[in-house]
Amino acid sequence: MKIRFYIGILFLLLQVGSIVYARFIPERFFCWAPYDSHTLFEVFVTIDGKTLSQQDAEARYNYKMKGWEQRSIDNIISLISQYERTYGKDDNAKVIMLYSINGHEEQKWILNNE
Amino acid sequence: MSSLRSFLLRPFQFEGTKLHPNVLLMCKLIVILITAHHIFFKIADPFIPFIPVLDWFNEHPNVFKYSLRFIYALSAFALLFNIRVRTAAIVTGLVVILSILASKPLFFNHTFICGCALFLAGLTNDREPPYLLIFQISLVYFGASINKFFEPDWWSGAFMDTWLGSARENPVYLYVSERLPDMVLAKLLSYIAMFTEFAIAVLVLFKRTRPTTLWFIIIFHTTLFTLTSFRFGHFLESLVIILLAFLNLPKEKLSIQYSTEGLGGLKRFFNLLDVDKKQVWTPMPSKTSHWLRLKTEEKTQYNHKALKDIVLYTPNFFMLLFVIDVVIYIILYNHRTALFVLNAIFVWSLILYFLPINWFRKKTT
Repeated sequence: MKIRFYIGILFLLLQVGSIVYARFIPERFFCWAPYDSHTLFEVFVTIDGKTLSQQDAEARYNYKMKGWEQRSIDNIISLISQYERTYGKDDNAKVIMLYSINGHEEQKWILNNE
Repeated sequence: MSSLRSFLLRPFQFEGTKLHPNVLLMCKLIVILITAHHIFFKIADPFIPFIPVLDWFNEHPNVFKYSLRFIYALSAFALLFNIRVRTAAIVTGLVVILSILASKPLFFNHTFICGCALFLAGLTNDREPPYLLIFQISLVYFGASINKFFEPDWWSGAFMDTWLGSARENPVYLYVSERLPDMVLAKLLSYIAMFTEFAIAVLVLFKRTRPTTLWFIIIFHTTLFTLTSFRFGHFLESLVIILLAFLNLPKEKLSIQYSTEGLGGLKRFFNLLDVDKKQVWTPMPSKTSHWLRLKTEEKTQYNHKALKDIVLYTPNFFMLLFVIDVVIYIILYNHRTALFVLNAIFVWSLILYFLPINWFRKKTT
């Protein structure tokens, strides 16, 4: 019993670590932070001069690319960046995201391919 | 034939395994819930994984996907049919967590909490309280409140105003906030949410405050649901199911006496649900003012108090509730307002009945 219990405690401590770690990075994964921010956003993906439709962009990242995001917008930025660094590396996609966090002024994020 | 019948009844049996019956009930309901939410088909080859090394599996298409789906199907089956339940819960939980680790787009808190609960449930036993699940619930609320405390928009009300006012265009919020000074309602709701979550995180850890805290959790989330008509993915259902692990079911048989005048139907109903044959129903002696009596080693309860406990001690009642919820959802899928109203009435009726308040106390002269 004890070993099982301590494995469980270790698993919980990993989550505590995630909560602490999240304080030092913009993403909010595995730290129990749903509905911490509400962001209206839209992503534009351009490859070879052609801008993808919303459906094509969503199919590319397997995630919604327009609307309300109820977790940190940096989660989506992380997802897009990782895709373009790996699977989409050769596409040299230009990605722009317009977003407004909690009703504040609209901001623009541009993927840095460098 | 009878052995086949008894095997087929296993999903509705909760006694005699190495898990507390209510923890096993929790595990089975979580598996049914996430399966109904298509977890099986969401398990896929790694795609933008949290752990980059998992991308290696993409050199061998479908190996990861079908291996994990096969393990999920096997462990879920074992869990539902009471075969090595602790191992099955651990494996099912790990499959859910691994499928999330393999794909950033699949990260949702409502799926992650299910994986965590299954994994931790498999590490508990039937002799001690499920402390790991208690710590998990505390941690969820601790994380939720701490993360909010660090967000200036939660203190200014900007988050709440954007969420309820702009994103959801909530009529109740818009109506009330228009009649109050700017952002007052948004701030008030934000502070209530933050401090309620923090209080839950602390109070759920102590045995003395735990029962009240559980009611706090139920009422807090039901109020949120009533205000927003939103279940937050399946987070609301997942949480309520996990709270079942906090039930304290008697280990011995339940001795129930009932009035034969009009309660025959109730007895038949519970006999049907009591697949574990844990309840012994006998007629009440005629010279008594009570209509129902429940006797356990710890206490004897009468009438509505007895009925509430019998319900809570009948795991298949919760299975039935789950089925009713799914059926109502399917029937009213295209009538969202009616679905919400019915759900809200249903849940609040249950809460008001089961709250540890004696609504039916007779006035004494």
